[in-house]
Amino acid sequence: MSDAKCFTRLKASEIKTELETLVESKKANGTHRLTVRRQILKKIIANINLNNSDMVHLFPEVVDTVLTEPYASDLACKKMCYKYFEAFGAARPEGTLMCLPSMLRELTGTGDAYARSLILRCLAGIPLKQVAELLAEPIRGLISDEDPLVRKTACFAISKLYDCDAKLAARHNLIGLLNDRLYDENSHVVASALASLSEITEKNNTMKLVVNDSHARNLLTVLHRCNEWSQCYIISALTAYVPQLADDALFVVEKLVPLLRHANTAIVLNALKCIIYLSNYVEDITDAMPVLPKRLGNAMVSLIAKQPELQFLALRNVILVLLSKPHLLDLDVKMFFCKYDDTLYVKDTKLEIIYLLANAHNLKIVLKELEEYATEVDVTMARKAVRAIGNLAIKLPRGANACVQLILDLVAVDLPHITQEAVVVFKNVLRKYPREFDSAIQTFIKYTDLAVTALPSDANPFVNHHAPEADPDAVAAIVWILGQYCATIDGAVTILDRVTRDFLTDTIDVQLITLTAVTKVFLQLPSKDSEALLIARLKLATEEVDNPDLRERGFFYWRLLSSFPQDASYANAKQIVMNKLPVISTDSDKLDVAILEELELNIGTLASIYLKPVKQVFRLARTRILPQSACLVRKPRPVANDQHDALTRKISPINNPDLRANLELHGSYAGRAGSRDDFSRSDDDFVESFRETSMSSSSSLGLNKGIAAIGNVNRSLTRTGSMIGRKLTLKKN
Amino acid sequence: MASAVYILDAECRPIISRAYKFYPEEVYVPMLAQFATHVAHKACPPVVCVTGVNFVWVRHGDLYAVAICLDARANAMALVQFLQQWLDVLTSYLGKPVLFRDDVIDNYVLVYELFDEIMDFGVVQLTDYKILKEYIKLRADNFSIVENRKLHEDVEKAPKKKFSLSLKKEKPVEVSEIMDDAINASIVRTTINEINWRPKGIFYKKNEIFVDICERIHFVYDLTQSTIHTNIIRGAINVQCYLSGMPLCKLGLNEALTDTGKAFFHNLRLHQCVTAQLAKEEAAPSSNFSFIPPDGEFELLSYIHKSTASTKKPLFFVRPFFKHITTNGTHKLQVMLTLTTHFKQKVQGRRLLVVVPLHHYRIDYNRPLKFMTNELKGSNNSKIEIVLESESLCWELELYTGNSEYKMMAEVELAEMPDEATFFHSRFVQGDEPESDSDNEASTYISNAKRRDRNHIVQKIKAESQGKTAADPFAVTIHFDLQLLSQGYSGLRIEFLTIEELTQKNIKYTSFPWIRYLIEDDGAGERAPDAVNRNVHGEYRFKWGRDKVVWVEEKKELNSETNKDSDPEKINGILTELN
Repeated sequence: MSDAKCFTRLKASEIKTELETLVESKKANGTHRLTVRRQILKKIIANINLNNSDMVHLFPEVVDTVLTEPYASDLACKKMCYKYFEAFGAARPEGTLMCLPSMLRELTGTGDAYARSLILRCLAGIPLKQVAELLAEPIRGLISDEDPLVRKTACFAISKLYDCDAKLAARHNLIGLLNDRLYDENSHVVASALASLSEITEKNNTMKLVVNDSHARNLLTVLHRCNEWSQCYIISALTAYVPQLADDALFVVEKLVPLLRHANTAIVLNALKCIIYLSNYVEDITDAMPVLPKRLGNAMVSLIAKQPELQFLALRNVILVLLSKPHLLDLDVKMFFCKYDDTLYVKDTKLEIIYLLANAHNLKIVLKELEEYATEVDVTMARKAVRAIGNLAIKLPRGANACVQLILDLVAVDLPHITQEAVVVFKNVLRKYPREFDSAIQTFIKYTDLAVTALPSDANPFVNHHAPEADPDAVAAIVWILGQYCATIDGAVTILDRVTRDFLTDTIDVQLITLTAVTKVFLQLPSKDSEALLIARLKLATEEVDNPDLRERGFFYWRLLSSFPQDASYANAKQIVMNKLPVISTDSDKLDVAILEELELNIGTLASIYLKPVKQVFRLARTRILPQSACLVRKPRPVANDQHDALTRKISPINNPDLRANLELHGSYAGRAGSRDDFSRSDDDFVESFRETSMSSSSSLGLNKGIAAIGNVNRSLTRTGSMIGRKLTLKKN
Repeated sequence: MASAVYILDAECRPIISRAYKFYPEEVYVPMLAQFATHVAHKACPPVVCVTGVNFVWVRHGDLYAVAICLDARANAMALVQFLQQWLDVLTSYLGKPVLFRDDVIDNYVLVYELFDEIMDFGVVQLTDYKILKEYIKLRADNFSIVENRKLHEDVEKAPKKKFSLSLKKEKPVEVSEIMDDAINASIVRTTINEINWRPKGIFYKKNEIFVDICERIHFVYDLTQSTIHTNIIRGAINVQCYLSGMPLCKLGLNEALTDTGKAFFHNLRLHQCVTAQLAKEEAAPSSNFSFIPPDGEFELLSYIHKSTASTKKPLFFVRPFFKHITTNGTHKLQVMLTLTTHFKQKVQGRRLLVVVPLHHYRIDYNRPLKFMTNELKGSNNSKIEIVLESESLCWELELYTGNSEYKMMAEVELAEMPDEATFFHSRFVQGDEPESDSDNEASTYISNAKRRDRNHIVQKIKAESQGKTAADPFAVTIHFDLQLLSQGYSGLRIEFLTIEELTQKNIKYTSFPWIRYLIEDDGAGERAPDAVNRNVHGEYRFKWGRDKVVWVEEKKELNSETNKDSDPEKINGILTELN
């Protein structure tokens, strides 16, 4: 009979009758009774799994099974009964307590170790204080049982008891017993005790796992004698070891390096975490161990051959190490080139790594590869590749020319999604190198203005088909370029007119930028056309728009231009509007040292996947910092503490359901977040021009928010901008 | 770590679950619906946060294995690794490469018992099937499964017979022992022993060990620039061990076992049995090393070999040529391929597949595909067809030898001639297909594949080009399998292999080591359920550019066209002309 037949929802009464007939039937012999009883128990367990809470009524029957022969000595029956107790034990304390004595008797007896460990596991798994109390005494004996299997199970039982009733555990000094197990002769028991202790300390803010020198050495010798998961926990526990001498740290690192070759990915990553952690306690670890970066790099690269899920996690952690300790990872950027059948999230992460690894030496091949991605079928991937190219131009001043050339080549392909993205990044490039690419602007505008705004019907049908809607970011970028560089663009006024003719339906960002741009055009190229354009847009903004910010901005420019009637060349206004822009850089993607330090200590954990400090993912979690020691190498902390606070405050709520958005947002290469923030800046050029007088620095956000800068910076900045504008106009009045 | 582990069906409804910590199930179940919407997204990463609860998940066929955890410092990597290994354990138990909902339900008692053993209080305990199977035994009522497993083993064995003469395993399978529930205490203790990967007391009548050096080649060549883009060999030494007792194997390679400096190996990864022995002997890694192997199949070591780009010649070379002909309003595409093999003539390979993606063309399927090869008439060696599912031209060679040249020309009629100017941009147009469409295609593809019962390679290629992303239209791909004679493609060689029984020094048995050198495919990212079947292939991709395409405007009478195609001489003429 197949088990699937048990998998039907039954009522407790039905099973009861079935049991009764079994008891009453006379012809059934012992073995038959046993098989039928097993079958009935199977049905009960299946029903528990189907979330059938009706099964709780069968408690007396199950207790009966455990207490009567021959079922009580049948392992299969017992296993199932234990499962039942674990599920419903807490719901029926009186029933549980009834069968407890016999179970405890067997537990403390001298029977089979396997059977005893099963009982122990079951009893500890019942979240009932009475059970915990009764179990606390026998467990003291069991933890030093002669059978290692029982000792091992007892280790976990203690952490379960602790979870159930912490006071009880403290009263019976169970933690102390667990500590003693760390010196057990059996390596598996040691590992279990460690795992159990770290579970307990993780939850408790007053306790801390401390591994001292001799113990660390002991753990290292034990390491090779355990199974893979025990190894995993031991290595993890080694991060609690605080070396007092650089040599001690090096000794541990040396022992850990061979583990980087282990087939189990979790071990590799834990070893990496531990090595990175210990490297903080050695003045210059690459000096002491020149091969280390190569070994770490190799270890990470070989993880790329694993299943996509594992790959992804490994790559996320590569990013982390590259951000905090790039000198410890010697990687060949070629190994991170995407394969065409990689899953999307792996490709994404690889792209980030490529960006981080790019330097003047490998720029050529990197750009070639990025060009491939940019012309890829997948639109999101193509966009990201284009973005990465633009960011490389900003990151590597010497390679900027090559990057810009590539962007121009890509734009020439005339595909809307590429063009839109290209405009956005090109704008950033212009911000970084204000006068260098003047010659390229003309070509650029020629290709882009149509594609970006996706004019209906009269435009190229191809474009229409693929870009049903214009990308507001791209429109904003092109408007900014037109405004800023109108002097170098032929027919800038006409183009600007065309691009912004849907002024009223544009998004608020685009509208704000439009106002600034038309003002700039008017100031730089005073002519009938530009004046007409300016007046038309200002009129719309002040008369037909409901948004107070936008209206105020319109009034502001209006007043600015009309307040100095005697100044025919608008020298004052020019000085204000066309003020020198602050140069952007990617230096801001360097994260705060404290955040990096914390992330680094969490390699391989969930926090490393979200690339966010633990505190932000889980409010209650404890922040981990590098423990002090004589040999701790402290890095200078360039980032002031208050700024750290500012960054953390802006972080989106922890329970953001959209992880994808999170990952995208927190990408270390300028993701959407980065470029958006930048918009609000460029749109607020005029804010910047007042910066010196009104505000020393409204915000120090740059191009790349990097990991921690998140959230609605965009909105808040826009708001700040108009507030200042309003204040100023009030003063004037 | 994990608070609970679930197996969910395709709609993310729980099939079976086990809570490891004291949290009521009601907490997560409502979140599963939200989780489902996340997972449905193509780019959903394996870790998802739904309102503060973390779902770590791995996909397996139609099922999801999900670990739920509430702790930020839970080791995500360990969880994913655990889920993968756990699925491996399940598949090994049930003897099926891919599990379905009913498999899990049919064996829920087993799954439950496994839940107990693999994890305790959210801490992973043991995921080694070889050990687990010794003390969680299948019940008698799962006889159908035992049968399946035997069948499956037979299937596995079948292809291997091709390679070595005697591959009949005389495994002391415990099918007969399955009935008894008694657990051998020594086996339970294995989990907490020093050598925890091998139980004591294994006995085989015939002691055999199979050592395969499997190398997967990933090779990308740019034909326009005549440069090798990538040439990476990922290799592994796979061992199938059927030896009695506690054998100590000593293996000698021709390369030292280090991966520092200019060593042969990069990213060397050793099985625990090797590292443990090295640590025990405190020996520096050299080219000779010893190990106590686990029972059955395992990967002894894996590596990447990189330094081949300049020194190693590619095994194959293909030169494509595309001719677009417009004659009196009909459009034709001629594809000419020249394939040369560059290895010893006596080495023979089976099954080579050249795939030319044509999905960027609009092919007129009403007209027959015409093709021609330079092989002798009547030889059934080549098979050329358009694979509808992936819209690509497949040229399959049943048998090929080293140092030879194969040519082929195929002609299809096009419904529409691609524009010469935008030809190299046409791939973008392809990418905009609505997603639902491709799903439909995938399902028809499955039924098609079933109907036609194609061979393994073809199916795999299709799955690749279908499932994830469409293949690059401007690259010709070769898939092949090849068994080399004396050494791996990278040059790795096994110098010697000796076996010595440790526990009973006086009983010496004769053992039979078998060694093979194989080239495998580069499907590394996928979980290959049929990993046992080594009969797979390497992958070569040749990217081509503008110089490989011509547009011809022919204004001839209609009958000349038929003449040309039926004349093999003429085609051969064209082919030689091209070279």
